[in-house]
Amino acid sequence: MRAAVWTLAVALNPATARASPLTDLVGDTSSAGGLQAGTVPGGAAAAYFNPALLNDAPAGATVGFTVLNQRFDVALDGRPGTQFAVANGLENAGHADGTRFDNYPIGTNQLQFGRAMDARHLAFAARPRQAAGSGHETTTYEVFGLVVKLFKEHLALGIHGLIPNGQFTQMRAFFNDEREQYFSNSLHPELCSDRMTAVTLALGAGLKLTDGLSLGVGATLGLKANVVAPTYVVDAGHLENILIDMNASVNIGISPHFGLSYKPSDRLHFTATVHTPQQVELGTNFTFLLANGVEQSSGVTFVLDYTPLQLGLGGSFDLVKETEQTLTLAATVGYARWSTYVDRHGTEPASPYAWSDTVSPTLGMRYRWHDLSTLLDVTYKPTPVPKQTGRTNYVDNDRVSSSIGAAYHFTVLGTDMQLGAQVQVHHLVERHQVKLETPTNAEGRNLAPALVKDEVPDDAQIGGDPVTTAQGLQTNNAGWPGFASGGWILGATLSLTVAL
Amino acid sequence: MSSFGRVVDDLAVTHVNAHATLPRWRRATGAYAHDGAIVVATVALVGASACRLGGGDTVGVGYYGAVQAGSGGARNTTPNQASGGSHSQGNGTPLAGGMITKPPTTASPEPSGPTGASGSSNPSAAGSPSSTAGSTPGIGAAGVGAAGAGAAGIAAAGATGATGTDAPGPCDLSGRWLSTVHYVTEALGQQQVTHSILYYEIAQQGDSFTISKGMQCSDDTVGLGSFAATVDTRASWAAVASKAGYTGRTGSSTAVNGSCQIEFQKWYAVRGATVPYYTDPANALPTVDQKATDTAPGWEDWDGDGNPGITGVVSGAVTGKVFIAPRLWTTISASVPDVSSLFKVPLQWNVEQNVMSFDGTPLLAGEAVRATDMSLHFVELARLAPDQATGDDQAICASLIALAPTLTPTAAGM
Repeated sequence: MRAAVWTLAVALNPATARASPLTDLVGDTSSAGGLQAGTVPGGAAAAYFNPALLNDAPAGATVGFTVLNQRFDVALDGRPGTQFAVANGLENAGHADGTRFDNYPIGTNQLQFGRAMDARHLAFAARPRQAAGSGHETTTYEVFGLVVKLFKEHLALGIHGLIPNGQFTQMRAFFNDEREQYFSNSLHPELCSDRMTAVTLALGAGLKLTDGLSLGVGATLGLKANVVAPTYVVDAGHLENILIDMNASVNIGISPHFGLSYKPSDRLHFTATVHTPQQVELGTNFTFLLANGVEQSSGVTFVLDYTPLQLGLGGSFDLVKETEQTLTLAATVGYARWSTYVDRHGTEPASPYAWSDTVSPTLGMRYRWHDLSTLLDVTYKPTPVPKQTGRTNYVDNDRVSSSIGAAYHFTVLGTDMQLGAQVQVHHLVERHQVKLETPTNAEGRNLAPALVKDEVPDDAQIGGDPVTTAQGLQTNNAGWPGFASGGWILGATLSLTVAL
Repeated sequence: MSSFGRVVDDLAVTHVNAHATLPRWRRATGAYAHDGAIVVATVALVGASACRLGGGDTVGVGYYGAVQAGSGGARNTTPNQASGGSHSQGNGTPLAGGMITKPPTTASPEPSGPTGASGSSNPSAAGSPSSTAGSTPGIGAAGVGAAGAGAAGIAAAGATGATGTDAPGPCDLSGRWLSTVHYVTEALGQQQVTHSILYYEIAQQGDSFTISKGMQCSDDTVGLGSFAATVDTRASWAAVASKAGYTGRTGSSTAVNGSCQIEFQKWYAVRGATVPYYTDPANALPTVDQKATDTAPGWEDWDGDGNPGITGVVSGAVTGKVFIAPRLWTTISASVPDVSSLFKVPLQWNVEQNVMSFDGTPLLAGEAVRATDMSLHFVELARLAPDQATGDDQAICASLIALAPTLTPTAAGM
């Protein structure tokens, strides 16, 4: 009971938590939960998906190994003409009234091909379009889980973890517009890529109120970090000689989730779940002190692995329920409030390209023949991302996912065990989008901030001389004039559960 | 993996006029299939190349601008080009010591009178149409001869030497002048103020005048912003005073409705490189590999430090040295109430900084550009008293540098 109280207290602490986009994608890979782990009782993964279902899970410990292969392809349309290129050497350009641009693009040619070193310049490494894309990684994970029953099985406690191997976890922030030219100059899958390396660690507790009614509460754990780096710049031309201190703080964050399980009859089962928003916050702040006493500061708070409020309703019915075999049909509807999405730089996509809330249906079946259990789920998750015809390049696709799995129950030296295997296929439905035309004007004003940015305003001048190549649109937006995306995510898991 | 999307490789090779280096990673399409070598080809894109999915990220064939990595931005005028003037100032043939005495003979936008007047001191120009036409009323053949004599007198005595003319009018610039030039450049949003201190001996005939002795005594650049740089080129001042002269520059000062309309001929001044060759804006300034020889123009080590051109010692947020051979043009066209002692006029100018190399951070290679706000660029001219700034060139310059903050306080300030 003390554990339950502690769990509840943790769950009600409204701090920022470690998000679980990976778990949301793959579902329960080590038991019968599959892609409907919030609806169908399974194992320890219920600690995340629906803690109320922990009461229906057998007590036991689970270990497993998962491999996930992302094959998320992005194809950029060719740039249609040189007039859209940013000329080199515009770093000292400005508006006609002498004011500076709000940002300065790199010459398109230089960006694409780089620059060799000469007497006056160091070499500039090329950043070709889409040469540094992501979403092609293969990652392995360790799966572990534990379910413990207390008080004559009226209380069930569970813990579920999905820990990436190798680099453990990766967090990568990128811009979704022309500003990414300074970095990878590539488009990245918004809801995949590094989000697939998020560590998931969920705790849950299920309380059986009656034989047919259980409630559950849980939380995912994570970190909230803030790093302040005071910097002394001896010579702005020799940044390799800067002196840096560090002042970092790390807080534990949690995000609660809730579940309900109700069995109105021996064959019918309903569930409901609520997952509160999750995200990782990484604050970075810099102060720069120059030798001449000038001090300036800057900072940004990165938001990673954002997962919105999610609601789920599910139901299952045992079509066949016999001693030798069981056939269960299950369905789940999930709602995700993606309209509140915050990207990695803490920006919320705004109208007219605001994200949409989504409703995702999942259908599946479970079939048991003696000691062999199988599962099959199919789900459709529409993308919350509108077509990216403007400045932003959020890459995402509708997704059709299926999971098929089997588990075999056996006994070794009087201990019940279960060996399970699952294979998942996620198809990212191909999508092509073409940017809308950007209007420009002689005054150099940005008439349509939501559209692809004209990075060299038409009134551009250098030292009072007009820049003749400034007329019309010039952009290094990697997604311009259009791009397509699609692909597959393949996963497989092998797991072993030992009854306690 | 199924394929997806359109693949439109509507490329049509229409003509060959540019060099493009295409990297290996680019999708091979038609004539673009290659392994990173230099390809001489230009294509006209009939339709944008769309994309294909599968087998990793891809990029359609497209245009990234002319291959110009490292070149300057596309401005409508090159630094060599003049706005509203001829590209040839006809600085003339240098005599011993590099001083330019030959006056403009052709294509000068200035009135022909001064050209003819000073032309009389150079036999090679005496027969030019401008020297004989006497096109400026009041300066006939006799006047030309007198002016030539006057100019000679200036050179010999260091006096104003406005001989051979009528009594000075209210707009007569004849005399000795301190000219303090104030202009502002910008680099990466940071402003630098440059002051150039010049010495003029002006001989005016009628409305037209010629600078019979002109030299640049000093220049300094002071950064204004937190990250701006200050540049010190004092090691080259003596050489600049002797080589980068303004002698022979022409102009006019005309009384108009109670004011004086001042016109200074557009003039190119080069430092750290062969003059007069590089005063012709048609000649590209030298690179670090083009050192002057007995037979070929190029950069010259004017400050004798063993480095190309003149050396600018940069301090501030960025430190180091730049080795430059800049070419600056200036011109003045303004109306002032009177020219009796001190007047201020706006300056039109531009510069090719020509940073040939540097010692320190590559940030030093970044060139500054003229500030857009033209009110930041101006000149103050102060008439010198007979006892001010006398002696040899070195003494004159030393005096002017000391006098500038007092006699031309606005231009010498920030």
